[in-house]
Amino acid sequence: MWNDTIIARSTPDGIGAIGIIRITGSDTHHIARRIISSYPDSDRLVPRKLYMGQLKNSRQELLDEITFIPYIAPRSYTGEDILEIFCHGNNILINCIISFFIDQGARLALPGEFTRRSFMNGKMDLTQAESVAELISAETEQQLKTAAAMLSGAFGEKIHALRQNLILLISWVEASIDFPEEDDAVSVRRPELLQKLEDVTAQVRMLKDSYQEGKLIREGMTVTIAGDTNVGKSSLMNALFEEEKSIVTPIHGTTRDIVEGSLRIGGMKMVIRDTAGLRAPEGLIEEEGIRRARKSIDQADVVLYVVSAEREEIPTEREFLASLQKQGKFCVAVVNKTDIRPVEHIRWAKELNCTVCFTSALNHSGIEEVKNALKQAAYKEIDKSHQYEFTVNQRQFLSLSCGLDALERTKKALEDNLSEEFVVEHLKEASASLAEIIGEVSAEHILDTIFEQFCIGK
Amino acid sequence: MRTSYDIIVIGAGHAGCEAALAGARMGFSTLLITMNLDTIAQMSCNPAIGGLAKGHLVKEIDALGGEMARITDLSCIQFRMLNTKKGPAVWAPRAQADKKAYQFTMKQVLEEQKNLDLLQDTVLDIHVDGNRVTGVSTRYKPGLTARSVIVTPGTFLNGLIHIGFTSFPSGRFGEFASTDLSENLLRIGLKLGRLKTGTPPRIKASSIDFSKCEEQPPDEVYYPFSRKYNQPVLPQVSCYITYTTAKTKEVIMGNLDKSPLYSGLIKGIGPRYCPSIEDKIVKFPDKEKHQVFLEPEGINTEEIYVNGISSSLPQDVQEQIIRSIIGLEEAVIMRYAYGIEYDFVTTDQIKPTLETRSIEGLYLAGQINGTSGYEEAAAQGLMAGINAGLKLRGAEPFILGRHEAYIGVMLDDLITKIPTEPYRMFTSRAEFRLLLRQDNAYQRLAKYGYDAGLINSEIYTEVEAGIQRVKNEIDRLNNTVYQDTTALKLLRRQDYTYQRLISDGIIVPPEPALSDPEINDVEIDIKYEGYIARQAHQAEKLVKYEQWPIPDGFDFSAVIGLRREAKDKLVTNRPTTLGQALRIPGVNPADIQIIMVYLERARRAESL
Repeated sequence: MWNDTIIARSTPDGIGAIGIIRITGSDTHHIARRIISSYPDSDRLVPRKLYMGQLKNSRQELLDEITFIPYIAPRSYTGEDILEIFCHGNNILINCIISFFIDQGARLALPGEFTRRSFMNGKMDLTQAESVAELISAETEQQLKTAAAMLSGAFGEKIHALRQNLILLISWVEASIDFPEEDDAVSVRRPELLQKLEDVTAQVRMLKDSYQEGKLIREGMTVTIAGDTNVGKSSLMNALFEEEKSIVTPIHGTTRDIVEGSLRIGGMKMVIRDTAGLRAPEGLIEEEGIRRARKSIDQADVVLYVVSAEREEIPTEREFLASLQKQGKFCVAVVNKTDIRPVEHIRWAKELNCTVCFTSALNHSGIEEVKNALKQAAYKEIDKSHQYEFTVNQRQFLSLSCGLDALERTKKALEDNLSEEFVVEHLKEASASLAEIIGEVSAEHILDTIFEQFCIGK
Repeated sequence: MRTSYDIIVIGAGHAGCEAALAGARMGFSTLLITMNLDTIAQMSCNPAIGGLAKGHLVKEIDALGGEMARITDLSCIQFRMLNTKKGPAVWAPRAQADKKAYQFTMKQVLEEQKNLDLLQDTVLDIHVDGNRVTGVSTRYKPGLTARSVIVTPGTFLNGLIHIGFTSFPSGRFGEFASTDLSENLLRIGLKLGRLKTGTPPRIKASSIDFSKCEEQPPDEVYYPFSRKYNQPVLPQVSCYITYTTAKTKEVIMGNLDKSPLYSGLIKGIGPRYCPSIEDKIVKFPDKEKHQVFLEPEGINTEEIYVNGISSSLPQDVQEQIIRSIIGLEEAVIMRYAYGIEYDFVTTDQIKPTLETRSIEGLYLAGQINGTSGYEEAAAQGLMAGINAGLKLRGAEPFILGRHEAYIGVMLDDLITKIPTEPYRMFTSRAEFRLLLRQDNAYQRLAKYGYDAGLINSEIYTEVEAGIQRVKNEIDRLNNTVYQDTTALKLLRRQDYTYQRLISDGIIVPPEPALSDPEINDVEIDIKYEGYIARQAHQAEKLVKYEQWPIPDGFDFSAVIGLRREAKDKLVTNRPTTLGQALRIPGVNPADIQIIMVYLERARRAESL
């Protein structure tokens, strides 16, 4: 009893080398088995042993390599089954893992719930009970403060509008169920419902997108490899992917069209693009290639700007880099071909006003440095989200994701022509998911709106 | 004549009748006191029973061994199943009833009931000794004793009728109010609130031009309310629909100053789902016309109930309103509309068994609990009667969960939220709506009716066997492989019905064949499996909270870490389970967490 499965991150919000997620409750291992490949079967599971495993998304793409420790009730902190997952320490990955568990039936833990369970299951003595209550109340207080802060200003208005729209939408559907004998005013037509649903869905999506990490989860961070011709851009691409993605020749201007691939670095998806070298073009094809390269630089979150170590001076390149940085672009200078000229002989590198990595793409040396630099870039991108006019926190982001999912199912139910009482099930699920953000929507709120909207009264 | 009973029921409306029958049928000597034996089970307002959520309540009453469904079948003069274009969970049976037939039939059932006495008299006093009810005094009989008293006074509790600026004490038009009882309730320590309702005029059928109205004929198929009857016994008639006009609006806008509602004379809060015509015109000024339903009050009467124009405007204005309606230009009013204010007991004072928290053995049911509607009242009467009986037996109380019955939803709503307007049942109040179908009331509730002794073992066994047959058939369909799929998966598709599985030769009918309702159950269970399973899963979670009791006298104010708002709400509301606590507005899940910790601490301290 009281052991439904809950999940929470244990490491603080932000960036760290590792992130720890804890899951507890009776379904813990069962759910984990569906998410973590190579999760041991119950008869072979050794409690308190450190395992390694892979986390894959629904498309079977590798998200991260993790380690985990399973515990079996009652020998655990909460007295229930527990799983501790150690993954790379970035929010995106952690959120992603938490959402997988939620999709499979776990729920986000309430404030202080792990500790509360620990007490309830006799893992703490009586004298500690009061501190549990205080802990819960402190964490609730913190949440309330966050919620109150959200409710002010532009964000507050957006949340209020969303709430109103969602209530309106539910009340339309409910009215058509409970008042079939009222005249046309009550029977809102499906196209109108769909329109209102689109509005609500767009509002939720907007809020969700304000959590920059959300966008990064879906789309990944885009990284453009740029630079002069024949500096080793394609070799760098191939070295990053450890496979022959791009054609490499000693001929200037070999890469014309963009070569793209996605990689997972530090638990973060990165879309890496190799582009045509920037120089005065020879011929129409190259001209188009360079146009595309410039566009790709514009769109990139991060530019890996490759310069050849052979060069004595780099005035044009330095200027170009500076102009990119001026636009707010995150740049990493990659000084390649260190096999030809050793690092200590490259004086100009010190003068570059950005992260510099030295590589020999050909020999695969310095590639880890580049990856590290990309990881740092990703973290900076995430931090940027905190400068937005409004941003939602991790918990709210997860609520928004669940809400969005329910709204998409509502749409499907409407399109499948399901009867209103089924349509409204998804809507109510959406409003329950969003409750922490928009406030509780009770049956009474819906009825209030029905009576305001429609002239009921047989 | 005897002066000592197990149970005394005050009031013979829809709540009182069910309460008295339940008590008597459970074997307790019961006395039903009414101010007028001729108005037993009177339908004071519209001549209809059932409709959305209310029809569900009637079916539940039947499954628990109540009477309303049977009497509805016997007095039905028009049947319609509402919402048939939607899914099975929101189908809703509704009957127009012959009011007199309903009353007389109920009166006869009461008269024939063993253990039950009827008395026409007025209760002046409820006797309480300490915190226990001991009996009542009536005008003619001081000192009737009882172990339980069930109070069901309807709008008679300090009723005040308004027509225009005229107001006078009355329980229903032409009947005395019950003012002594109200004072008495105050004296024994109960807090009262005030509500308002109203009723439209009745007009003479022969003065209506029906040719200008839309006819609304009865359905061709009759779905009985009760398990006992299959067909209506009375002739079936039509209702009619007509509309208000621009003139109606003009009349009302020109006379608002004569409305007790708008002048502030009426202080009680009226139901928003049943607004007066003046309210509709004022609040929805853009609406050109309003629907009006013309419903016969019975077979042997000319009286027509004009549904949709309840009003408390003066008589002369009512006449102008009536005559502005299409088809009613020459209509003659037989009874005028009126508004009525009455007292109710705020529901933080009752338990989910409908027993008052402060006085043992004293139960309240119907409008006294702030509800509205015959069905809501009858359901409460039945539950109060059953619980009074169970308590006398020394048995566990009978409380239905929100996932089990609309009745459970209603009683839980009442005790967790004091009504601010007359409470009416809506399907949207039931979060487990898909589980609570009007056609599966017996499957849900017969076991409880049987346990209480109100459903006989024959019916109970039959219901349980039916449930088993449906289950077996679903298993069989699941195990019947057809080509690369199963019969069950085929039935899930929109283009398949159970009958088609048979006619396509995919399955042979079982031996014996399923009845139509059983086939219906099989189809619903399979076709809506995903949705039903989801709600069932949520219901399971809820039950956990419901089963976590908060002991009597638990001191919420001493709980450290609880927010001030939650503390206040909990102290006033005194929930008896964590589930109830969670549903009190202003109490959030984190508060519940803290309470759990304290309850557990107390439990451990005790067991040490």
